Amino acid sequence: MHELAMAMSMVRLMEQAAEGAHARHVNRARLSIGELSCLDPRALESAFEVAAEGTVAEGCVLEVRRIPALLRCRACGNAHGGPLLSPCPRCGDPGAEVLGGREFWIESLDVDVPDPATPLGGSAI
Amino acid sequence: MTDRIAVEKGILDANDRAAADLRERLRGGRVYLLNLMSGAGAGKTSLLVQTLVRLRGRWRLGAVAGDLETRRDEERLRAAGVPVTQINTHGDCHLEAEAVAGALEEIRWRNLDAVVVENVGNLVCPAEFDIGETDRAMLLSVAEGHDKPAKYPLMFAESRALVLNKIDLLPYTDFDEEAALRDVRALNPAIEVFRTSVRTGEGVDRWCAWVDGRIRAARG
Repeated sequence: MHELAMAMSMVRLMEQAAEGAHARHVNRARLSIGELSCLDPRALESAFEVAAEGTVAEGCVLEVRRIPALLRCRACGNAHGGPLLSPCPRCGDPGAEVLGGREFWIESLDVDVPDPATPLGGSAI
Repeated sequence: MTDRIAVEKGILDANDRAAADLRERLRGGRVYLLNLMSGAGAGKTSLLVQTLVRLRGRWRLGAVAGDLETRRDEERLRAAGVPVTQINTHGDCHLEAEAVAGALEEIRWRNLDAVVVENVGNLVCPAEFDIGETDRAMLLSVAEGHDKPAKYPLMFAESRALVLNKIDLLPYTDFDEEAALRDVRALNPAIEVFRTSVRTGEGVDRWCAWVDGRIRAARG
């Protein structure tokens, strides 16, 4: 529902990371998005295209890894998958704690950095 | 040449940091912040007006209203006689910590004991965003249906209190209270449940007593 705001946060993070690495462009971003997060990856991709225009992340390819929901049954401690309120496969209780599946991370970026053989702005002699 | 750089950062980290910072400052100032959430039209503003009126004699209270557009909630809350300000998100479906921190400055939170933030009416997104609150509470009106906890689990799972509002309408709905509460308690066994009708006044005292107790606990 708020993919554009999220995309703008992503672009900001990428700009910061690129600056830190003296990178000219971000080509690819590896994201982890949990199954339980309220985000649609396709909508996020569209929003990202818009948000990244004119920035160092323009044209960056998004590679999304979906992290499955990991729940722990409150009644018997069994770890199982989502969605929330799904009955525990071992004892049938719907109550569970969320251990995983809410992630929304940038794991790594592929960036263009200046060739080390060429001094910044100068030419090799 | 291309290089791979590790980032390993949560995309919501900036909001989390702003929220943690605000939480720290509120704690230091011993100010209680309640994040009040619900779907649109569940009765947040009405309940909040009643809450502010009943507790303003004991505590220095303030309110922040969040909506996409209009200052209507601010006007209604102002009638309760406490400092109020409105955040208009112009499209954002939830409030974030930075905007809330700014609004708190506007109502001079350091001179207050407690502030209630009325979040944007939305059962989905507000639950995802920490705004530095002490407690989260939410409303569900009986007219919204008993299947909402299952359909929108996160907000129910994260709230300390649930106000089941508009109970005067129960005879006119098919709301299955047992089914709703069964799902709510499966998601959140410790949640406190209040049954209210702001219209008739039923249950509002009990809710206000809870808020009063939470403010007292926060101020040590």
